[in-house]
Parts: sequence; structure tokens; C-alpha cells
Amino acid sequence: MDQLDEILRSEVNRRAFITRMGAAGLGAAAVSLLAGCGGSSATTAVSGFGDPVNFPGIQGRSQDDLVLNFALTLEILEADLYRQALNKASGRPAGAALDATAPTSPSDRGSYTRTIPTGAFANQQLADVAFLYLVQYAYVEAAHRDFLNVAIQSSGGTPVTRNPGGYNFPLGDDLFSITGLIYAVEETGVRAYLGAAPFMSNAAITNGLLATAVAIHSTEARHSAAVAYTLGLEAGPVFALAGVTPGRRVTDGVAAAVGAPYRQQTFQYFSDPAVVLNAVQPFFG
Amino acid sequence: MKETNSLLETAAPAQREESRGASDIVRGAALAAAGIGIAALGSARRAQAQGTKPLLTFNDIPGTGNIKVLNYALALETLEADLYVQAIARLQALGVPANDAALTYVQSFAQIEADHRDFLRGALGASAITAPGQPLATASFDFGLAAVTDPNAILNLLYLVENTGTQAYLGAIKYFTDYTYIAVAGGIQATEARHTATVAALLLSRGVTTDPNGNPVSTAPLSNNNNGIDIINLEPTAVLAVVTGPNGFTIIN
Repeated sequence: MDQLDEILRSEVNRRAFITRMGAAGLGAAAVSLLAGCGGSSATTAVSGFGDPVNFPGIQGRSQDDLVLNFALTLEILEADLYRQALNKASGRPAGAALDATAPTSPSDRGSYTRTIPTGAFANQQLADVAFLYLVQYAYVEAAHRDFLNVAIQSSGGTPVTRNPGGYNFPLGDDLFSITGLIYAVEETGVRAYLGAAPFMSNAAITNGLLATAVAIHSTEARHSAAVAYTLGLEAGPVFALAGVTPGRRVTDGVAAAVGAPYRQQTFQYFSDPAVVLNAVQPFFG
Repeated sequence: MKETNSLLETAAPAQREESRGASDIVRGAALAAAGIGIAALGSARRAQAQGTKPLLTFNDIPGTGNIKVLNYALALETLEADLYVQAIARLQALGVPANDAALTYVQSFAQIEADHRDFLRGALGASAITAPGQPLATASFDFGLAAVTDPNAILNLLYLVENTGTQAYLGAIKYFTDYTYIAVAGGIQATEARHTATVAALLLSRGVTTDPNGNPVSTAPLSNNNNGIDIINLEPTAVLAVVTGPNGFTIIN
């Protein structure tokens, strides 16, 4: 019952729990389940505010903090993936930081040049474009990370920090295979943001925080599609992708008689935050 | 570089002092929408239209709270779905081959926009802005495509509209009253973002580097542009002021 106690403590969790159960057709059961578990004492004393069911291992002062720190956890990881991938693709040392000068136009590769083989791109143009995106998005993910870090701090919160042991990624030896990994991680990020956003507070709807989270998700979706384009894949979203956290449907539980069932690419899929956090653990050094 | 990729700048084309390197499609579409030189543009559909072009504001969108936001989305999806239909017809009329990569993507995106429109119609039922008696029940849209001869210009308009739609959803989020439709709206929004990025990639591959408003075509905001994050301040009334009204695309028949 402890997990349900955690849910009971938070209005947002209760709502999210009921929504999820409702999507599975278990709405009434969800409510009665919560009612039956009222009053038992929690056995886990947490410092700060935690949600071990939905955001295991993440701390914050509020539900919004948890979502932002969840996002920051992923952005730190993603920024490091891009940094490592770009270093490998351009013959830089694995530990090198991003060059100080970020691209200033959509055709700008900064100071980077591809040195590894291109691999299985359909043509040279797509390979060149994939490398261009590698450079541009490396700086964007770093910017997301830095933005979230500042946003959490400036609101008085404690941002999560980089994993002390760093991150290990199975980077291939050509640009095409590296781009494939980028695609999988970007798509996981899109699903993560969409799955986490509904856990934010009512205040977040009106104060811009929710819109900001969805706006970051929007850019990750752009990245995912652009990278898919270079790989010769459809724009997506694709429901089942190797190496990507399982997708769930936003239309579950929302009545819509007209047009159902929908084409695969009609709605972005989401993943539960806890599922994402578990899925990225293998990358933590 | 400021993120300004929106339709806002086409709102008053006659007032713009500089051309900004705008392509003929912008002038063509803007002029058609403004009702200027209709005969010269030769659009048969336009000549037959007897409707009016009222200016809509967010206040005019039916419903309150969540319903109003969904209806705003439905208005844009209805316009977008029709743009795609017209764009495909024009691209084919211009002789773009069936296996052209851009046409293939555009055809698949067209289906998705129709899905979005149909989903929102279903969710809103009689309250839908497109339902009988509601503001867009008898709406049609004129994008001036009959006068366009460059396929790249059509793609560029699609890019501009998709980019605007991507930002429009973000600007509307704060008007939701609870989380009932947040996931669904986010789910649709992400696909608009995907379409935008894909069309941007197609445009860049075809040598088109500026959108109809003269802003750089980019798959996503660069790191020095709002921290690489899409803007969240595009107001519904601002978007509606461009797509409806005398200078807009929306005709009420």
C-alpha cells in the first residue's frame, strides 16, 4: 500500500493515477482502490518531495520540480550523447567539450568537419545534412540543459547534476549508425516530455511552465523528424521503434467517434517517466 | 536571431516597405487573400466565391476553457487540411512526378492533418466551430495557389503554415483549464513540429533557405534562438488576425 500512499499524498498524482486507470477502463476501480488505502502511515521518509512511483530517484520541492528535474536528467544525458557523438564523428578526443562558438545560421557547422565514414545514407547530401544536424542539435541540447538548470535554480530549487560516472553510449563507427542511435534517443526524449507534462500542476498551465515543457518537447520532435529524414525514414511518429521506450497513445480514454482508428503518425506517442528512467539506466556510467 | 517564424508578418503585405526578398508566392497569396487583382490571378474558385471574410478573434471561437482551445485548434486544422488538398492538386498540376520525395511527404502529411481535423470534430460534436450554425460551418479557404508556378513556393507556404501551427498550439496551452486534453494537444502539436522540420529539410535540400516572410528556413530553433526552444507566446488572436479577415485566407460562404 505504500506506493498508493505516495499517490494519495499528491493531488496531481491522484489525478494522473485515475487518468491512467481510466484509460485502461478501470476508472471506478481506481477510485475505490485509493479510498480503501486511506490512512496508513508511510514507511519511507523522504527529504524534500519525491514521487518514487512516477519519478524514481528524482527529488524536488513540488510536482513541477520533479518534472523539470526529470527533463534535466534527460537533457544532461542527451547533451552528453551529442557531445560524444560529435567528437567521434569529427575526430576529436572523446572527452572534449563542445567548441565555444555555436552555429549562428541553419547552414553553419561551426568549427566541425566530419572525419568518420558516412555509412549507409542514401546519398552524400543526406550524410552532409545528418552531420549538420549533429552539430546544431549538440548545441541545442546543451542549451536546453543549461536553460532547465537555470530555471530550476532561479525558482529556488535544486537541479539534478551530471552522473558522476559519466555516460556510455554504443556509438557506431560511421555516421549512419551514430545517427540511428541519435534518432532512438531523441524519440525517447519526445515521448518522455509528453509523458511527463501531464504530471505538472494546475498553476503550470497558466504560468507558462507547462507551455515551456511542451515547447522543449516540440523541438525534440523536430529533431526526431529531421534525423529520421536523413536516415530515409518517415517523419513519424512510429509506434514501435527499436531501442525506444514503448509508446502509449494519447487518445486512450478520450472519446472521439469520428476518424478512429487513426493512422500511425497522427498523434505523438508518450512513455511513462518511470519507464524512461529505467530505460536510460544502461547509459549511466 | 529572433524566432519570428510565424504568419504574423503577412498580415498587412501592402504596408511592408521592404520586400524582404519575399517570393512571388507570398505576394500572390497575400494579394489573393487581400482581394486585390483577383481577375489577374485567374483563380476560378476565387471568382465564384460570394462569401465574406470576417475577422475572427479568440473571443469569437465558440466555447470557453478547454472547448475554446480545441475549437481554435480545429479552425487551424481545418485550414491546414484544406491547404494540403489544394497544395497537392497544384503540385500535380505543375507536373511534379508522383515519386517526388517532397510530394510523397506532403501527401502523407495531408492525411494526418485530415485525421487531426476529424478527431477534433468528433471530440467537439455540435460545439465544433465547423458544425452547422457555427462560425466556420460554411468556410472555404483561398491560398492563391492557382497563380503559383514554382513548386518550391508551395512547399514554402506549407512550411510557414506548419511552423505557425506548431507555435500556435504552444501559445494556446495557457488557455486550457485543466489537463483533460493536454496530452492529446501535445500529441497533435508534436506531429506539426515533425511536419515542419521535415518540410524544412526538404526545402533546404532544394536550395530554399528563406521562408515567405524572409526568415531563415530551419528544422529547429538554433541554440542561440530562445535557448533552442520553440516560442510559447504566439497568441490565438494574433494567428487568427492573419488567417481570417480581409487579408486572410478564410472565406465564409
